[in-house]
Amino acid sequence: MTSTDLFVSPVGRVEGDLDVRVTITDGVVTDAWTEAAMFRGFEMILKGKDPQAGLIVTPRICGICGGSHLYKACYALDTAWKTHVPENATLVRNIAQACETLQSIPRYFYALFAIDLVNKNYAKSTLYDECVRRFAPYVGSAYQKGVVLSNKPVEVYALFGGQWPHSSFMVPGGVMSAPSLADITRATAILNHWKDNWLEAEWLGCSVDRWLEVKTWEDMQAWVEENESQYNSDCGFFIRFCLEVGLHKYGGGVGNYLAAGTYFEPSLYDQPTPEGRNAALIGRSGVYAGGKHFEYDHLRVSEDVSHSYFKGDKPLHPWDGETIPLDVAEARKAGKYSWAKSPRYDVPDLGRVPLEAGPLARRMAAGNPDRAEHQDYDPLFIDLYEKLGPSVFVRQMARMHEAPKYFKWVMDWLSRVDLHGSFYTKPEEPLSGKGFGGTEAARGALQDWIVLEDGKIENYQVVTPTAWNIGPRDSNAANGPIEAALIGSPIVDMEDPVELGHVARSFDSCLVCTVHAYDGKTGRELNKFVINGMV
Amino acid sequence: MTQALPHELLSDEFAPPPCDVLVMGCGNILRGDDALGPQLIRRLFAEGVPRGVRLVDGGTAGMDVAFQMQGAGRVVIVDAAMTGNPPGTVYRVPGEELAALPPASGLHTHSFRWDHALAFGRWLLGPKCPADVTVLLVEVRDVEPGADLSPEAMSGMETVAALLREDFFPAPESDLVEVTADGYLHLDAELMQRYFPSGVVGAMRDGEGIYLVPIRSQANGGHLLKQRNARGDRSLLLREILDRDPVPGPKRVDWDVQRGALAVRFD
Amino acid sequence: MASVLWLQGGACSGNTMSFLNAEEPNVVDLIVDFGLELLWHPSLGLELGENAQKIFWDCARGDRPLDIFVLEGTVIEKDGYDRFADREMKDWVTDLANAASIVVALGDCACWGGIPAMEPNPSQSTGLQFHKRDKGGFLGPDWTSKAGLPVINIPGCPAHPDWITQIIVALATGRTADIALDDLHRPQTFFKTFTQTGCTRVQFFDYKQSTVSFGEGTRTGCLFYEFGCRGPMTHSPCNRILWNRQSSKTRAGMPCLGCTEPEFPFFDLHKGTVFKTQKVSGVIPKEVPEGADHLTYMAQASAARIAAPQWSKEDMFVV
Repeated sequence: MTSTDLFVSPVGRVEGDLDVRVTITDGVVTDAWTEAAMFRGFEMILKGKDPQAGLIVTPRICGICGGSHLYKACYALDTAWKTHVPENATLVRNIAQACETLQSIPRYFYALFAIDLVNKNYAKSTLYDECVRRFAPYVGSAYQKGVVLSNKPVEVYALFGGQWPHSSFMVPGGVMSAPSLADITRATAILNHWKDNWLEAEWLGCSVDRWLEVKTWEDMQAWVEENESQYNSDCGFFIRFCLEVGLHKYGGGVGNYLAAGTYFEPSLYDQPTPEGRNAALIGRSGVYAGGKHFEYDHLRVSEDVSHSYFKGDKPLHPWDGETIPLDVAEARKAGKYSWAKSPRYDVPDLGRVPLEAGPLARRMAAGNPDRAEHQDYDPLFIDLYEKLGPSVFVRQMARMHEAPKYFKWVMDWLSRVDLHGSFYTKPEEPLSGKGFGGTEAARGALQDWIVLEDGKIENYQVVTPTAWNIGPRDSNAANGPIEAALIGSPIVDMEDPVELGHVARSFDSCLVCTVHAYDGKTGRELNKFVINGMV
Repeated sequence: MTQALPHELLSDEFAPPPCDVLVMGCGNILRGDDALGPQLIRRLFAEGVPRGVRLVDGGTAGMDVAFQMQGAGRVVIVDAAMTGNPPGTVYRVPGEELAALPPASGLHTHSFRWDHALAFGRWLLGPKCPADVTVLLVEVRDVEPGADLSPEAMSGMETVAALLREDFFPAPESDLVEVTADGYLHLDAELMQRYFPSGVVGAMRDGEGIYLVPIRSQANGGHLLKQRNARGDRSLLLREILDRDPVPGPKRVDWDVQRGALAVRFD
Repeated sequence: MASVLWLQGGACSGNTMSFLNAEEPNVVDLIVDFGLELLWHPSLGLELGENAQKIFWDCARGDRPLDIFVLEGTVIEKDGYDRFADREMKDWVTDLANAASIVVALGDCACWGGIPAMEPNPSQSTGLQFHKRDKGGFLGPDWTSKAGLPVINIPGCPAHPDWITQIIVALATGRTADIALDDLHRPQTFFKTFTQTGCTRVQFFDYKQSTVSFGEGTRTGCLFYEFGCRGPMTHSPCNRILWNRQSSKTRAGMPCLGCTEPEFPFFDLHKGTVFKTQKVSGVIPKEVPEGADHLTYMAQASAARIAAPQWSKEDMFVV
């Protein structure tokens, strides 16, 4: 029986570089251990600053989903200041948030994930040559179209916000801009161009509406076979390729999920409050754990620092959270090993179990039949979860499924903008208050908790989706979602463990994730590879 | 050992590049209407001439004009004349007369006229001297030092300029640019170097088109002509200037002398 | 063709994401068509693990020629806070900057320290050759690269894709000498003019007609007087070279934050400074456009207000 540890050195980015150490026994991953290596201290920087500082600073936590940071930072302030947000402003914010995600889906898929599918380990597959033709980095036909056209949705963002990345045009009380008719028609034209030239022409091979008729695993399989266009689209090909090489058999993870939800029904969230949030959401929030759906309650969130380089002896709700870094060398001696705090959610009856954030979490939340008229209800992934179980394949399909779905939502919101209406209501600026803002960035639940005192930020805590997915072991020593997903992965070639790349990248983490391999018996480092976590 | 002929001593290294048409303006720029030839050259230079046309100021260049004749397909020499006819009259010296010119003698650098130029040129260049030579003369009246060109001389000069463009200059190749489906204006590297060497332009809307005005330095603002490939071809985002993208396809451009700008028509 | 090695320090990837929006040439063109040799990039680089490390070491040791070294993100000086490929990232920065012919600092973080360097600067972040406006930063004020140039700063938070691609293209095609730098080492092509140059609200600025409210209020007026717009004081081409082919912040009603200048974010985002023009006696803007003085400004302001035509008091950017 051979046991090997794989440890890949980090290629950091964003709030850090992620190291993952993996133990392999007889060609299967049996343990995994994550560590985040960079620290910039945004929460410390925000303390004592102007209440609106988060609108400028939090997008710089991550330039890939900076617009998502802006969205939730704005709602955190809306709830703290108890503002009025006109319906037009809610629509514009929804449109902008969705456009960022629509950009991210193809850019991430082709430039970060699909490039691994051309690994030589798959050369024996009958589909390999086709895979290379489509997905080879820079030169692949699908790569080129997908990546180059991915900037179209953020042109729409720029119509409302002036630029992408990094506009701070969402402010408490509404938005800074007021579009003209030309802006709306232009936005519609740009998105239609994107749909015509990539979403339907390249990815789906059918209309958006046809794809959204797929509600079960059987529907999906029948869809692939239905005609040549769908069979040979990037989506049809991807499904066939995953099934052939086995990407549906591993990478499942913890099987428990958390979604904070995003996009508000304008008439239901014009006086934003934390309590009123769930009911107003179009993209659902929710926790799915132990086979059951639970309503999402932000008060059940806590951050554990027992293995992080921060001071603290018990998990705290973010409103009470602290960010006091320790000396790294001293902290390591005490058994701490990561800069990432470990967020946990206290699930009723189950306790603080690790929960996966991301598109699959959203799809699971959307499968909860108990919902209001305006809310997304989508049983497809509950079906896939039950029939296939989670895996790299299912996680990626969840991600791609959002492209046609959100496209339709954005077109609807654009048509509802009342150009003669109001886009902003000037708020009072109370000197103290507490707020909670959340959204779904492309990679998962992203949330801010703000405490204001004396007209300044007293406390600001940001919990990113990657923190949910990669946080170190908490005081219960449970594996985090990425760790759990790596466990059980079959490694065909120790010299080139591409399977680990698929799993880690399927989480689309904000950190460049490096996976290390060590020989479990001798401690000798066997292999190192960096998973370019494009963020 | 036979003595080398003059044209054999000419080194190709220092030959001017070949051209289709060489226009040479002779005369003294300081002396009233005798400035006609050099003034014509300056005028043609400012207006721009098609590719293949070379201009030589024969005012004070003296013998150099003969060296300039190397490699020219056709030569046109312009000069002032005083024959007693009405000022402003334009003559074309007949070909037979040109053939029969006496050899160069009594050349004087301060009095180098069209016939000297031709005679000297033939002596110098021998068989390399262009065969196709035309001489255009404009009758003038006053050659007082310091005087401006008289209206008649000016009119004669304009007639010559028009004649040159009609009969002698190659048809201007119309430059083409392209509007892409993505709303970019593509200009090739050569066009950019010719009109906008700094790489930035000012733009002015005009009906169904725009004018692009050269801006002297990159530091002075303006719209950026982005380099889009290794050859140096350029790209300008039309949305920076227009509200709507023009219909894609090739578009003619012309240099507008009055405005000092490149006219781009989209209709 | 030119070889480029692009690393990230204390970064958010905003500049990379902006770079991916590039057009004419786009990123695929740059690499496939133009022949830019992108030795490595945290997102786009193809080598992994040991192969990637070999590239870094070969360049650092001078065994492999490196034309352009690009750093995105701050240099984190505190030990243990940014480790990369088995070393402190700052050690990689030292070696690679000294090995390259030309060094480019991309984005505010690499240029001046940016947002991570805001008080209390927990990671001890700094820029490559400046810390805010002070020359020095990580490499020191007199440092020059092998080609004899200081660090070329392409600031912005993020930098616009054209600022990035056009400079890389110029460097890669041997036009380095054409790039004139200002006293903050920014290419003059982009950074001599102001954000205000080409702003659609400039006529309102001239007549001192302020926007009074966000949302539909931004259909008229200038954002300088009330909303903290730094357009007249900020060197950038944001209103000459559009963002995402569409627009700019000020056109969309968002005040310019001055993100190409070393002091960004201004006033350290202290209480009362965000989206609010700082004024003396609540009336007179503390900062007037570059090159102006307060007295002249005041006199001109009164005259302008008196002269303001009726249209300047109405909505211009109408439905």
